[in-house]
Amino acid sequence: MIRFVLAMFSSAIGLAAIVPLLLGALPFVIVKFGTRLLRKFTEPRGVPWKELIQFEPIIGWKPKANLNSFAIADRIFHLTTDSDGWRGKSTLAGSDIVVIGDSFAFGYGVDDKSFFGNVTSSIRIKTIGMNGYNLVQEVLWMERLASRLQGKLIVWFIYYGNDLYENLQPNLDKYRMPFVREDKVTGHWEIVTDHVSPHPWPSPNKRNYYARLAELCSPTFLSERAYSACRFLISRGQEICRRQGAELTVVTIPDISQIDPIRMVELKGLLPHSSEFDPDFPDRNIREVCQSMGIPMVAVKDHLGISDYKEGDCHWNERGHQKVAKLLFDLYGQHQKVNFSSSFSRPDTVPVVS
Amino acid sequence: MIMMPTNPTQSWVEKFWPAFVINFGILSGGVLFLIFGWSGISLSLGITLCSYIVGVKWPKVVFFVYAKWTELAKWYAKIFRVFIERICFYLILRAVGIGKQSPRLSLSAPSGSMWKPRYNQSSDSLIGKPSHNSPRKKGNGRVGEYVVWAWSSGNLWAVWFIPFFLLLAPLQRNEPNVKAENIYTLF
Repeated sequence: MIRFVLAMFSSAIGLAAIVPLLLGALPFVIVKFGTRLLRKFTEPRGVPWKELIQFEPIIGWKPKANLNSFAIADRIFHLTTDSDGWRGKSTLAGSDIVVIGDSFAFGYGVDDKSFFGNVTSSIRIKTIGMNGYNLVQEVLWMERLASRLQGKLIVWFIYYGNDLYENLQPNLDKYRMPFVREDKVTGHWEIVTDHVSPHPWPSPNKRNYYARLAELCSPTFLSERAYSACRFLISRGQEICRRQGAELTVVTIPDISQIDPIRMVELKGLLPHSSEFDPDFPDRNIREVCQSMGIPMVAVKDHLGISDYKEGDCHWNERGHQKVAKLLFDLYGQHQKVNFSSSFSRPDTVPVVS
Repeated sequence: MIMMPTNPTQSWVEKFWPAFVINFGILSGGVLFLIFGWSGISLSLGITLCSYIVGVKWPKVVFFVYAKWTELAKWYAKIFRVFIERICFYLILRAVGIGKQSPRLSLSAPSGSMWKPRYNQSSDSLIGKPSHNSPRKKGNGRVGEYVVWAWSSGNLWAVWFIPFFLLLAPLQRNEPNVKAENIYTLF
């Protein structure tokens, strides 16, 4: 009883002593809850990207069809999808360019009106892509949609932030996804899909993408495997396009840490031997792969800068989408010129894309 | 309670600015009113409006202010936390110790081992399953459980820590573990 009373009085004294600190905390509380209230009343409710997808056999997942929704990125943005689940106002049949990729192809983070697939009416762009896709899933979509790609310009987005690494992984978080595996005896790569099912992957692991990207920017065991796998996948894509009379162009997308000098220092610091770090190492390897197959390749880092990416998000902002739309327009123009000239003579060299 | 996300989204920062400017306007309005009277309020409104326009025109200013505000909030929360802990240890426990009352908790020694037997299942069947900790009783909040424990163990005086625990809880910040992983799986 005595302890109870002593504790009660000392607690009262302690609470009285805290009052000035509580008053001092008021501005912080007001700002925090004011921010929350403003967000609640001025922004529509956005859904995370995982609510925009559904299971797709073999491929893992795809966007839901006929969406008219608000999604969450660095801000809430509005998106719609067609009856097949793809973004872009053009249809696949009526498109001039088909862009295949991941969240960059999906245009994650910007409204429909700012999405590169919709900002220009000079060319019709259809995008086949979704968050989290690796190149294996993209190749499988190319195979599945092959008959509808005839005669088109196929632009394949390769994002260095995670694509090359995740080609080698059987899962993305709890989601099972196809991957490539190397046969050590024959040295051939194969696509593995038999583990893909709606059941959650039992042991999702937290990925450190930046550490992996740092490895991909230098000659490491991972980068050697990743570029070898990439060569296999690009050759598969090339073969599909060749059979359909479509022209494949590869467009490589750097992570912002590969172009921002400040972030590049942090990326470089993740390597034990930072002297081998080269932010252009992925582009050199992919260019070599593409040149060996006669595939045009464009490095987005030659066209977009830091200010074309979002703050606090790896995707392009509205200005970046405008520039990508212009880039695609130029690519299509070159594609048309090559087609026109090839109707008279066979080109001796691979089209040069600046 | 007072801390904002250290890695905010763009929309969070955009909504932070009007909330911050209004808060600043209210505080400055109060101070200027005391000094200049009603004209101080007009002055405060003018400053608030100009500040808002500056933030809208130059977003980098907003990001900078946000970063500094978050740092200040972290620092304030740390001081607040330390102060509360000091009160608990050096005021309440000391007070309970006056008159030679022992502040030690009355705890009955466990009669047997506190190890729980493992279920009779093979390792494979445990993969992917949630851990087999005893579930919390349904319907009891943590405060209720604490009070029940204090009463049943003869330490009812310990309930006077509750207001301080309630203040401490929102001031603790669990930052996500950003330690780099150096292991990746080979397939």
